[in-house]
Amino acid sequence: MIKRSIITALALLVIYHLALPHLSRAYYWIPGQLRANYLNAQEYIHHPKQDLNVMVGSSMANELNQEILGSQYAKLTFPAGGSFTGLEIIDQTGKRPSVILLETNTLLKEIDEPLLADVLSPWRRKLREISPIFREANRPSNFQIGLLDGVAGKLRKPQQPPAIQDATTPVAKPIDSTLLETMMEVHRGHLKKTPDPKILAVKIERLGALVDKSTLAGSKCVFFELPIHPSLAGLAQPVAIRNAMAARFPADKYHWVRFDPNPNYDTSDGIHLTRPVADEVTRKIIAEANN
Amino acid sequence: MRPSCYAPPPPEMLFTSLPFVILVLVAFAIYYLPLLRPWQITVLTVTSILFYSWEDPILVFLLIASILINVVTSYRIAIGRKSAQRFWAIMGVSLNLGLLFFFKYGPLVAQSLFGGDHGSVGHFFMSIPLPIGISFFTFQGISLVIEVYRSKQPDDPFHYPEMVPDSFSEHLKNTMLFKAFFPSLVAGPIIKAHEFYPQIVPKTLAEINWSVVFRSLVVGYFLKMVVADNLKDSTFWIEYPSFLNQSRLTLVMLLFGYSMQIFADFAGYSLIAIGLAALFGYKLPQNFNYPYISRSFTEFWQRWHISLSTWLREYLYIPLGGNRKGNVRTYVNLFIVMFLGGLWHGAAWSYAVWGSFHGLALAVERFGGNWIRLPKHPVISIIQAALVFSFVTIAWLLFKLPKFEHVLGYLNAMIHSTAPNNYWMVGHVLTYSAPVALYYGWHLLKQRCPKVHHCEFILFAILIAAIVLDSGTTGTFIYFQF
Repeated sequence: MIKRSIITALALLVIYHLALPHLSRAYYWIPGQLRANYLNAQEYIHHPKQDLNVMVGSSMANELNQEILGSQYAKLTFPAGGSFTGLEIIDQTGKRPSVILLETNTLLKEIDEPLLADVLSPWRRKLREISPIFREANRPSNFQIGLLDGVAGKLRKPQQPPAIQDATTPVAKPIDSTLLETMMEVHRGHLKKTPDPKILAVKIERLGALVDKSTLAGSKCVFFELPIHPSLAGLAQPVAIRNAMAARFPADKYHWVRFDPNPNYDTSDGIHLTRPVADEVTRKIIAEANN
Repeated sequence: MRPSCYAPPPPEMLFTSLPFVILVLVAFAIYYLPLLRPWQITVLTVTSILFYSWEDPILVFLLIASILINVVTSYRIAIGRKSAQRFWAIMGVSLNLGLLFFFKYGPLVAQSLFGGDHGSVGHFFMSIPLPIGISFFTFQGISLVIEVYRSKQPDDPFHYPEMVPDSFSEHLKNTMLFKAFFPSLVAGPIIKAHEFYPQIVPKTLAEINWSVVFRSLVVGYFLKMVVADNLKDSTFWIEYPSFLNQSRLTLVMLLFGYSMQIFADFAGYSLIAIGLAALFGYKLPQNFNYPYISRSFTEFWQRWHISLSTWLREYLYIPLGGNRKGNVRTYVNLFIVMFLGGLWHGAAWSYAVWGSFHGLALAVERFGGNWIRLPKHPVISIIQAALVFSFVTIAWLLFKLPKFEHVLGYLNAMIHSTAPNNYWMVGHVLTYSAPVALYYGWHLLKQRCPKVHHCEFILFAILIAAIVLDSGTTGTFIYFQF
């Protein structure tokens, strides 16, 4: 029984490897932000282009529109993570992007260690190069969940807007005012805490080392702080990060894209921009980065 | 070496990690070397200590302290004066509980009494890490002390085997293995002394039950890596305030998914532990017996975390009087046992409420059972199982949301939310819950049609392929926190 099971399992893997290119993607789906993080990181790592431009950041930068960024940009923007995860991927893979767009809002976020361990593991990388069936993008469940969603889609009322294609596309959508206030309160509670100066200093120092190394290797690093709700933008944590960044990366020596802090940017929850605003912000970043 | 600011941390020693697989393979190779057969216990103990100390070596001292408490007290009970047996038994149980209380409940008590400000006693206690597996190895230690004590009583009704040899050093060696045995060290199954000590004999390769090893490991890793680790990507939306923006259907499905996740996570862990123990010639008790088909809460607790419920029954419920002292006392005993069983899971009131909920359910069920006799019919059985499953699933919210107001908020949102349905999330939960349903279905099918046994290899092949292709991102076992 054991031998037969193992041989059959190997046969199944071979069959899947051969069938994968022919599988229909009509109902394909990447379920969830966390899975999308792995997918994006793997896509970047296994991308043949070594100087592909990159945007690094958190769920906030993840709202920025990939279509506007274009195919010359990869997004290493990780919901529940921050810019350091993307920067470490660039550094550890030895790739040298021509341009690195760097979101500064969530510098205090820790590196996503499990993600890095997975995507940078030498033997896993080798396996993923040998066969695409080992990549996040080609999990059998992506097809199954897509099919279920497709069936559900057929049952939906026609007046409902079409669902987003997958979870890698930003999901920010307007929420009701009570919920918005609850979310704002949660963010307020988080952002009003003054960060530990020692921790912030370590983060800034690490960022400085990574940026200087990339710059020396020929990358152009462009910083941007995404606008958030004005009542949150002036709280202790954003102010501390802003000041520390300004001191370490002055605008006369480093590239910055600045946003006017005064307008009331439309957000879904206080910190994530809604689609139209995110599109406008993306255009401005791209325009200034290409200057 | 390429300069980098980032130094990756050492990989974790989880059952699903590469360092663990290497450790097991090396230990296995050494363990069965004929030349080293006399040192098999030592090889297993050293492996277990390495496993336990991998991430936090200092915790080994606590484990050793706990082992010494049990070695000395059980040895004194077995070998010492008859008049002192009771003293040593009380001493053994008290020291075990003291250790558990200090590390697990000390922070909660100290914080309640002294506050959690910097420099306070409460802050000091809060900074002490909770040693992984302490609840499990403490309960095993208590079982040793109590069973040795009971076996020395002239009217021992349990007929326990001889567990303490004359040689102290041999008892120390055996007890170190019993307490530190790595497959069950951090999250059970809680093995009782009388089940383990008779198994401490030299083992040979020929004795390995490869079928048990293969089946347990494949199903265990599948449940953990494919089902639980994937479901966690959806169920993290149960966190406050994320759940507020989900529809009623999505919230119901997320809760259903969490129920599946917690089962797959813990049953998967238990199966892996059973498979690993079998690899080294030891038999661990079954910990899960398809609990979600239970038709009553009593049956549920005979099927869920069996090693804990039998421990509580033998060492708490029966000593409290069990059902021998009248109906009211039985209800009270059930409630007390489940309340304490809830607190065993963690030093938080949410666990006490969870335990109380189950205690109350058991008491009400017993009370109702005295008055109402339901006819035996498949439809009634299905309704009963669905009701028990629903109540059990709702109660899991207390594991996920430690604040009671958030639990109420979730239940309220399940009824009143107007958010649109999130179909991919529903699809995700269904996709990864389906294998659990199939797991149960296969069990029922095998009972009715034993011939399906012949095509089991196809099922196992699919499970292996799924582990390779569709494992989720590594998640710590939920029961590690207990």
